[in-house]
Amino acid sequence: MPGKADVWQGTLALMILKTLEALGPLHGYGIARRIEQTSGGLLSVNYGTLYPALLKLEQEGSIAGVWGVSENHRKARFYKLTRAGRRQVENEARQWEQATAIMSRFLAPGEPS
Amino acid sequence: MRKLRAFFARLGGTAVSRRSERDLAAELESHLQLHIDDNLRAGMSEAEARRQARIRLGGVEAVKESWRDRRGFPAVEHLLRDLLYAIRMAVRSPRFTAVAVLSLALGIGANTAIFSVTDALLLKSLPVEKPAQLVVFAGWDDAIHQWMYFFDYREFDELRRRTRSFSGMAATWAVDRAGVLAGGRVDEAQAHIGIVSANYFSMLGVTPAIGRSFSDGEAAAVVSYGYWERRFALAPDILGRTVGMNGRALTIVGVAPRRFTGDMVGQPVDLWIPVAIAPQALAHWPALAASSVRVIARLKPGVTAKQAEAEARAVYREIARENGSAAENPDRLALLPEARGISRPREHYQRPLGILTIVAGLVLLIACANAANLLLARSQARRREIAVRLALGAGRARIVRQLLMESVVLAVLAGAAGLPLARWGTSGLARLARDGPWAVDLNLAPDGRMLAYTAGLCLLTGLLFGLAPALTASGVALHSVIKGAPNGPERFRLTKLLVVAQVGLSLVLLVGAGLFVRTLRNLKSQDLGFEREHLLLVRTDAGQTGRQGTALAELYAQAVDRIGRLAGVRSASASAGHLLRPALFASLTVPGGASRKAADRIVGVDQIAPRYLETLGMRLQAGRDITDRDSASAPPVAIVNEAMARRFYGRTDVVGRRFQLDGDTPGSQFEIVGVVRDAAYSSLRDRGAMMYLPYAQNLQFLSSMCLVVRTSGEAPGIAGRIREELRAAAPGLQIRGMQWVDDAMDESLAIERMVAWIVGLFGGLALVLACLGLYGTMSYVTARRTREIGIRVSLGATPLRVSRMVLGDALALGLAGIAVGAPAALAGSRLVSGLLFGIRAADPATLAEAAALLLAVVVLAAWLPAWRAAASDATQALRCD
Repeated sequence: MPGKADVWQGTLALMILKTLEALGPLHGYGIARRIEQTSGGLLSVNYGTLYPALLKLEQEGSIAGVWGVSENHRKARFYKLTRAGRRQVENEARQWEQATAIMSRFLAPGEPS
Repeated sequence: MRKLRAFFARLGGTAVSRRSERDLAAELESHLQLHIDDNLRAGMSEAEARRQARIRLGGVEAVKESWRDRRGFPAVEHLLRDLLYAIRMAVRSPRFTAVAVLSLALGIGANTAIFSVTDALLLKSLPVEKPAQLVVFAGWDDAIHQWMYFFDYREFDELRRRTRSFSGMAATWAVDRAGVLAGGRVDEAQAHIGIVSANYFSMLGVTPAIGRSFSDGEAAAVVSYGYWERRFALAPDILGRTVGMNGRALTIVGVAPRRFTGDMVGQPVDLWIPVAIAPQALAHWPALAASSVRVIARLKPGVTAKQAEAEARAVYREIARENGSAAENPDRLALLPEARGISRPREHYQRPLGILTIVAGLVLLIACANAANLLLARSQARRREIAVRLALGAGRARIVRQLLMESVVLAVLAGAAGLPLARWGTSGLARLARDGPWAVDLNLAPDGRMLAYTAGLCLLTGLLFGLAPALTASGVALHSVIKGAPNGPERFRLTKLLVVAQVGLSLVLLVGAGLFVRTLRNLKSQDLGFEREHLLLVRTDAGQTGRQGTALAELYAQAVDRIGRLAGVRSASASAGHLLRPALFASLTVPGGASRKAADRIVGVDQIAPRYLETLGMRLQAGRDITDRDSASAPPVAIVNEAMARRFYGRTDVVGRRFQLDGDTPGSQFEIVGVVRDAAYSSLRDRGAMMYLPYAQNLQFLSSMCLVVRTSGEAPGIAGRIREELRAAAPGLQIRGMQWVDDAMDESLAIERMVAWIVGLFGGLALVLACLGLYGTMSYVTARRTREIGIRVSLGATPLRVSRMVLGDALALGLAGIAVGAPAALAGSRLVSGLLFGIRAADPATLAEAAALLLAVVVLAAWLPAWRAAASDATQALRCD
């Protein structure tokens, strides 16, 4: 898919968690579409990494999956944040903000520090 | 916490979850549907919507695969799957498996057996607490160039009281005694008795298996587990029973743990008694203070052996000064490591066992080459299978791992099959060691170390012989295989290389076998310097009957006289030393001669009765034999051999010359009255300087008696009559051994025989393996060349030419192997040159013989494939494939 970047390693989990926090329970397809929309079409989610990532989060207890019915009456597996997941979102979001703040200082031109 | 939870979830995923596999399929299906719905809503046609959604989702199987990897532990799962597959493969081709496993089992079994013995005798630490902290006191004896380990009990007592570097110090000694009353019977055999200070067990950190240790001066004994088993049939009421020694009853208060047999490796103790009661429990034992003991000690934590040694020397010097004894040089006192215990046989077995280890390793390498070749041939048959798997997307690493797993499974099977072989080999080695001159008695029960060694060997072996075939097999060119094209020359090159290596290694082994077998033969057939026919050696324990000095001399005279008059005896005499066993040494000086280094003043010495040289048939070069006139009152005389004459006088006509024993008062000199030819006297290898002194003139040294009897002919029943005469001459005198000199020679050659047999056996084994390998390779290569041979035949090649071509190929491989092996064999034989006798390490005859034998085997192995090739039908050959 030319012109689109793959999701960076390690960021996918946070994007999934953030999406679920914002939209509530959602299926895998929905999560992928939402991430792609939020990135303004700059990112493309590889399903070969999405579903293992969902499984990993489930194994870690951050999200829980349950079968349900979608808005257009399709059977789908819905993921929702657990309490542990919510804590994790906060933690990781804070870490990311810190990290990006640091990086932006390096990237800002001419700033001596 | 999160990680841990995920770990358990994955563990569960590995074990169960066929259900969630279906779950994922459903989830992906719903994903697809949702996408299609979206696409339809965006206005695509039904078909286009489905197509786009499918493209976007990508390979469903790939998604599933990466999901599966996350679900469980794929590495473990793959390993298990590989293992099952490997076992299925092994079962499916039983003939291949049997051949590979058998040849490897021989190699692994041989290595394990030799490791067991090496470990027990050379490597293993004593089964005591923190063995690394243990040291043994030793003094360097310049006179005989050896470490001596004995001290007076008095010295031990002082050392123990005055030193600060040790957390414990114990005294120990050991003697053999027959006639111990145990389990209601008198033990006719020798019991090995440990004489120890009461703290011996606690210092070593050895807790009795049952009961307790004794205290000093208690009339008590601790028996070994083996003695408890042998003499008391493991009677549960062992504690409180008694053993009778020298008319004294000692109460058994404990049984040592099964693993612990004292600190002398190879000479297990049967029972231990307190050193303080030894003077009463053992006949003719000196008073406690004068008893000889070995001193072992445990270093305090943090104290080094060097520091402790410095302190011990200072203390020892003090003791020597107070006692006014200047005999021992304190600077010669040393603390030697005692972690592995003390063992006299050890030094004699070190090199032979090292050689056997190398030889067994070579056999295993040959077996590996064989197995690798078998695998190569088989991977040929599996090319299609592997190509298909590669085409389906299996990675090369994955295939290599699978193939390696197969070879490791073979190796593990071989290890399991090799263990019984190892047991058998170990007990054979143990028997050889027990029958040898040191009567080494080792505890060779299989233990964790041995199993770990075998397991490691299996793994290593599996990787070693599996790696090259696996790499080759996985590197197939897909298109050529699927087209069914014949193989390139690549595969043959590795196969041939392996055969060359096999032939080369076999040559090394065969040369070694030839050298050792010749050495054994040379040792046996050499001119001994004495007559070996009908010569009987009778070893007594005269020195332990309490007789000393004149009493012992009287026994000599009586015994020789009585036996000399027996019918069938041509001549009889006696000596203190034993033919073909290590001699005593003495240090001497020639008055007015050049001053010599201590080591150069040492010669072997034996004390002999009249007519000794005559009885042995040792030829006098000059002078006379010892006679009855050389009595205690006559001037001291000596007979020397030529080696001694040459060393000290530079010539052999030395009758009438004089010398003096070091330490004797000046002026007490020996006059040489005879010069005797050099003989293989104390060992079959050694013709060093020796002197023979009349026993009657040197009573102070006399401590043992060995009779030599020359019979006329076989003299049936002579042993019984000698026994009777000795009983009449000295009731209570024990005969420790009676053997013809041929048997004594065999006994003294135990190690040489062990090495020759084993290397010979392994050489034969290598030959068989090489033959198998070559046969397999030649038939395989020939079969693969069917088409080429068919073309040659149709172009007019005669069957003779075809078979000559195949034989020529085989001979080329054989010659290449010999060319590679010859330098290795020469280097190897230089390594063992110290163990050879009467033959040079680089012996051209041995090398030529081994090479000829190998070439004969090469021709033999190639015969059938060559004949088959010659008989091949051209049309048939061209049609195949």
